Amino acid sequence: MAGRSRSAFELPQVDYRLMACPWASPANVIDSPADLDELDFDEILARKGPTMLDVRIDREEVPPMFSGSKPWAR
Amino acid sequence: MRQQHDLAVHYLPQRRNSPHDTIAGPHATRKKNRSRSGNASWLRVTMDFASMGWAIGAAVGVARGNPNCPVVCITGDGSYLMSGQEINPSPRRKVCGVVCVVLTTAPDGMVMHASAWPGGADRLSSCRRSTIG
Repeated sequence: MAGRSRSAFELPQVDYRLMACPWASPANVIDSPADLDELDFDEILARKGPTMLDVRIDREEVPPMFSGSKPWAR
Repeated sequence: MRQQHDLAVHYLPQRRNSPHDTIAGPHATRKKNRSRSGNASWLRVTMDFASMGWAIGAAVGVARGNPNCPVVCITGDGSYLMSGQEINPSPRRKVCGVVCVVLTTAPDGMVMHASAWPGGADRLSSCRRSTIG
């Protein structure tokens, strides 16, 4: 980091599925693409109110916003 | 699980002929900005750090504005911890299907990867200064 300030990025372990409990809304944990395939999106998109999908992704997966050749160019 | 790739491969093609809105925050690709895809669907994307947490409130607002159109909100765990409670009007108003997709990594992936990128630390510092004032 060459003496520059470092931003904190660690987050607490949170079960986002439980955040849907106060609304009595359905929530799913997605660990793999197969879990997405098992969802009934027609039913999910037709219901009134929110639905929570907690998609567990790889920690080292780089967001595409950094995949360009000049990500910070203005 | 690769985030954007798997969502694009497994979710969006399934729904491309069904009208819906997708609201995506900084975790989406840069090349598409408010582009229309499929039959009657919109993909609204904001990028960079100023947009963290924007997608959640925007998703509820879009759902209120067009109650017959389901809305999919794709956001990260860091953004959800910032602005997740903005989804509260959704169950209260019974707006049409706001699907909140939270990409969970435990670290704030956008900040973590930005810190490692050349020039990223300086950019994060400038964002922090402009936010705090």
